[in-house]
Amino acid sequence: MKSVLRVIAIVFGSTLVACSSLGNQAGPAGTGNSFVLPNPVAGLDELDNYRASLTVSFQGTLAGEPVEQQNTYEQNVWRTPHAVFTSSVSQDENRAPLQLLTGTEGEAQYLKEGDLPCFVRWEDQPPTSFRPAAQLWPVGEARSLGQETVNGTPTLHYAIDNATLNLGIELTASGDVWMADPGGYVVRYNLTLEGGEAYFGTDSSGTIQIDYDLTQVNARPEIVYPTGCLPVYTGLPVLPEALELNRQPTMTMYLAQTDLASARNFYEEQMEASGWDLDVTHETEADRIDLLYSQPAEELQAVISLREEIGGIRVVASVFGLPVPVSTGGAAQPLPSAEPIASSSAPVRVMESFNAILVSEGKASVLPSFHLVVQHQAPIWTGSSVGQSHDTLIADVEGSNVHFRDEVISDSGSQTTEEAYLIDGQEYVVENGSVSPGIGMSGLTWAMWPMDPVAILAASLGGATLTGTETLDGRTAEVYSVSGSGLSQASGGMGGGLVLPVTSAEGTVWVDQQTGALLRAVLDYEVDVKDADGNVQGTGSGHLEIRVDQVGQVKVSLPAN
Amino acid sequence: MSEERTTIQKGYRVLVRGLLIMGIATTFMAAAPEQAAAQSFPGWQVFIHVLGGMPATVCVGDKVPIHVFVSLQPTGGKPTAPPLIPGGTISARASHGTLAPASGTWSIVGGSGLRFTYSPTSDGAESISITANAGSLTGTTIALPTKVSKCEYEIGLSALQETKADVWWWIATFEGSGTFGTSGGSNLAGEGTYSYHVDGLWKSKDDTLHCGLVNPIEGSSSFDVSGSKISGGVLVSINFSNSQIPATEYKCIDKEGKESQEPMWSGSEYDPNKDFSGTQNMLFSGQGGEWPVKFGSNGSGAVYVIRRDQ
Repeated sequence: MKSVLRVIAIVFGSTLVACSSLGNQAGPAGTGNSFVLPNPVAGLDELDNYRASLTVSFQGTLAGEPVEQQNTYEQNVWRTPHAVFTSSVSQDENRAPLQLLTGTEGEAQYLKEGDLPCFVRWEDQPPTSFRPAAQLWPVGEARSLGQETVNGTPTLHYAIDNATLNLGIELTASGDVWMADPGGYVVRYNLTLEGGEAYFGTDSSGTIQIDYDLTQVNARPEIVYPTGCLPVYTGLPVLPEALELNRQPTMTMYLAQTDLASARNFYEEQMEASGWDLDVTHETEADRIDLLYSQPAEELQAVISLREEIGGIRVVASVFGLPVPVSTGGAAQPLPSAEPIASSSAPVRVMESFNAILVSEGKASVLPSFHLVVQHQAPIWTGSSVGQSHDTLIADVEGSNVHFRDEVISDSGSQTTEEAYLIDGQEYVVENGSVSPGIGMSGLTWAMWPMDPVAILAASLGGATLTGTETLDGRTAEVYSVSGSGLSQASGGMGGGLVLPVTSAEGTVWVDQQTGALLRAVLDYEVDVKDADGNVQGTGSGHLEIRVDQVGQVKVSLPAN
Repeated sequence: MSEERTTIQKGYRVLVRGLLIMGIATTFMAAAPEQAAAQSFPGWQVFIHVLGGMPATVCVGDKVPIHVFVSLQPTGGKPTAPPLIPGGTISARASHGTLAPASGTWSIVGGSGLRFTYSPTSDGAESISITANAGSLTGTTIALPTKVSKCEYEIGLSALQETKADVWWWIATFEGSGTFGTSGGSNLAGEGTYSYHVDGLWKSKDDTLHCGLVNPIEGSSSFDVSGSKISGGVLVSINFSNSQIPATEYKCIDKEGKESQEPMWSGSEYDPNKDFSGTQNMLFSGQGGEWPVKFGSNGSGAVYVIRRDQ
């Protein structure tokens, strides 16, 4: 009991110390009080658009059982027109990865669960918005560490500790917060909280890690739709008496309380006023009219189908030729297949595992940090025959910061090596052991490395089958056997020579059961070998190995020169 | 750990928390008296978010996912440690259907989610109640109003084919619909008809030649539909019957006005069954929606499902 009283005395004492210092430390400009961060969502509503990423993890023991849990959230927001897309990767009650995408743009509500398609629901009332920043702990007085540019934004940097958070001794806190200056919103927030039984309960202890990044601030004026989700086309007019209105990406469906002739007149007038040309009127049935339109300016076609039914006119309006948003990366939704829907889950799981480890500026992996090794033996055209190149990429990744070294040995034996750091969006090149700011070429090298692996993986997905689980580097991995045929001509043509024209691929892929991230891939493939002009000169065999380990154990920072 | 130690710990926690609150209150009164009244006991509150919201209308027989995210969020003001609560409970109730699971737990470690599946069994005005508790904190309850209807479904397709080769482009449309579904049931079955319409909208890009079908190709056929309600949507299988698309002729007029009659042309290119061989599986939202399809090498469109409230 004495120890308890001692603890109370320490806590009370430290609290009083904290009390005495409050009000002496100036907060960031614009907050108007002595707290650095009283409201973690403050300032976000003033931004035109941004991406907020939050990872909350716990590693430790609860009630005597080891627990490793991680939830990740990414939210992309646009103010005008208002759109919010939130994706989350958490765990269900069986600790299996649970992926969810929700979104809203105007009256279009988006929902995508796991491998299911991205459904659109047309609703008057948007749901309340979950905000990742609201999950951050407020920060009181904090020690200023000066001005820094983080994620491309000028910030004031503060250190977080127990006194900052006004914590007792149940938890030990350490971390940093970077707040936009000007702006006052959180740009980055890292907090580590370690606790024992006093906080987590009997036979429990562990570490909570909270990492938050705000990127792409006002950098994307146009709405970027998540992969698999499409914008809803609203360019076709709707009769004012519409009931049961359901707008989908290419179709508008509703019941109009009018008659067939009035509905036809409405569309003929409104479509012409909107720049559509009536090409064909189709009236083979007395209770139905189909109108076919084209709009040369945008190379669109539309079919307006009007049909009498009890209660009015059923209108089904379809538009064709809409461009696929670049961000979706091609076919935005899966096409019908004779195969059962459920069979698609393994290929999707494998493909998304690769996406889960990709890191670019402003986009972190689902893994907080990791060590990556990619070894690629690729057939190349030497000018007179099919040869081989050997590419070895070794990288340490922490958040969106990267330190990588890429070594390429050509068929002739010549070797090129590139080493660089990508820290907070800034590139630093390592040459002769010295680190200096780069001009963007290393960032390009890093951005391009997934291109060949994604082509090889894509070709192998057709026969993806879950064969069991294994433990890799202490993590439970789902093991997938993969084999399939590629799209030799199509992919080569579409990629203009950049896309590896893989004709077949097979091998094994290991996917982290907890996060869905790729942990290892061993793939053999066949490829059409092209010359510099894109002409196929022969075929060759290649081998690709990807290995991800040291998850959560890697730190990336610039070396002291 | 002994029961005595646990008891001491509980007492210690209460004392520590009480003293912390006292300290914080003192701080506010000393440093910012004008804020003391509003923020004298800042803390944490249980927040419930329903990710993706709740549909305004659902149907008897649906399986509606409700993604609930629960977290402790600071209420603002002076920071303090969140309560010493390793987890909380969450429960849901409905009057016009069942919820599975009916309750669960959530973790304050970054908040956590729980996926309820709501299965409405009778029509009427529904208000689903979700309550989250966290130890000594005041629990939070939200209500999700919705309307449960008996529904029927219409399925149809709309597609268009277009070729923009060096010389020709042509266009064809299909429109079809059929009703399927049983009120309140989870299994769906039905049939429908579709009509096709191929028109001669051909012309050369250099505008030297205009061609057209002598008569539009028109006809109709049928399709069978079966489906079932799954969580969050409707799984539909559609099977098109064979159709006999009639042959026709087309004629062209060149720049000098000279006509040329071309030979018989079968039009079988436009048979949906050619591309929809076998059973096709498609997924739709419970509210209805569209599923993109391809026709041949140049056609595209969508199968759609319209939900009607009875």
